[in-house]
Amino acid sequence: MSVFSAPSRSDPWVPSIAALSIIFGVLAAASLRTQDRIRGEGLIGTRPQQVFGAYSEMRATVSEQKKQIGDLQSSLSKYQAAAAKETDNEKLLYADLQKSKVMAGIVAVTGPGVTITLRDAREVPKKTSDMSEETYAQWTNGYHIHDQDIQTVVNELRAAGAESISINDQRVVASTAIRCVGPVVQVNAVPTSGSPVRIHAVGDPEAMYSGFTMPGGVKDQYAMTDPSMFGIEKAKALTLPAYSGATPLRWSQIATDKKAEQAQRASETATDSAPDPVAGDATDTRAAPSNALPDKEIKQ
Amino acid sequence: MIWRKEMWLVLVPIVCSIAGFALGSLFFPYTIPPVMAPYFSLAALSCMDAICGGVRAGVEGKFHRDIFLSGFFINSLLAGLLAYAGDRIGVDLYLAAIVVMGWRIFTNLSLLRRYFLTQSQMARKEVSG
Repeated sequence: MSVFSAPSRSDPWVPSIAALSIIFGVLAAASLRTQDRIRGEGLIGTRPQQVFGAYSEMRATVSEQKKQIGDLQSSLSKYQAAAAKETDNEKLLYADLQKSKVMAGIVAVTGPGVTITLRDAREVPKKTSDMSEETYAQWTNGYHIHDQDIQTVVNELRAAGAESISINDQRVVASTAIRCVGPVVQVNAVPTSGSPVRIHAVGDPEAMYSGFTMPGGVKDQYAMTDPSMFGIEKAKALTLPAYSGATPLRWSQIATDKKAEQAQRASETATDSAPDPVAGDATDTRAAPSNALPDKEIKQ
Repeated sequence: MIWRKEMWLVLVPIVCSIAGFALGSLFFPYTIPPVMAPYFSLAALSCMDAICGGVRAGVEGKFHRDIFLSGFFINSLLAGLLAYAGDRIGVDLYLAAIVVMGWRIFTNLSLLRRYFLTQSQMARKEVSG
């Protein structure tokens, strides 16, 4: 093998070759299993460049369509405003429409409120050698912000009387889903920053602030792990963006009067017979919107 | 084909590879992160290259353990670096490693084959003559 000098002696080659062959076998088995898994996950034939290309292309399409939605919504508002100048009836309808739009989150709103910042703990404890990967993940779970944390905050904000909420500049509407996908948080199916998470809420700043900072409240719970994980500030004027996603209604229909009445009665009896005021949440308030107000009072 | 006693030794890498494969499939139920998968495949190829080269040198009677080990590690390292650099600059440099190693595997195997055919011919002559 040697080019530079003629070999004078030969080493026994069988042990070295045998050892390397065993290593080769183990490597081949691991590679095979990995390739099987990659194939199982449907990633076969997808080179990273192709995936990136498809991703940026789709992102461009989505942002373009979002712009279109925004344009259409603003022109719709203009038409509605123009139509509302005619008679008193129309003016009333228009005012009602504006209120519904604010509640639905499809217009930008401005007003006083609070800004809440959630971020991962500054220092996560180191993994000790006697700890398995799983135990460590469980142990450090509380040091990271998860979708549950955001959901809890949104829930508390609503309980404290927040009227409009946005997470990382994504407006929270009735159909909003908040979920963690890897290191990012998806709000309205839009990936946003997982840490820090900025939540803006328009409502009574004092009520919301004291709701979070009361002893044993959400702030105290984070303070036990790391006080920097939770921050809340009152704000005089916040502007929340409008919800820009699609709002298709394919399954829901307005109930007939008879059915609505039945649902209303069912919800009233459910509220009366509830052993615990909190259980009032379980009543179907969607069928009878007028029931939403007492529900809110119970929560507070 | 008549086998000489030392010719059975070529079965050692084959048997050991199968044993290692069984060991790996049965006792190490871990998968590699997909990002690392190409590197492991390269490492496996590099192993195969070293084994073929080592067997050839062994049957030719010029096997040196230092050359064998240094060759294996430096070739693996170079292949890994090429693959990584290729990933970073967007050129599939790992193909260079695959082509060279594949070529060497074929060369070494063909040399081994010729060697065995010659040996077995010589053995047959000895038996008949």
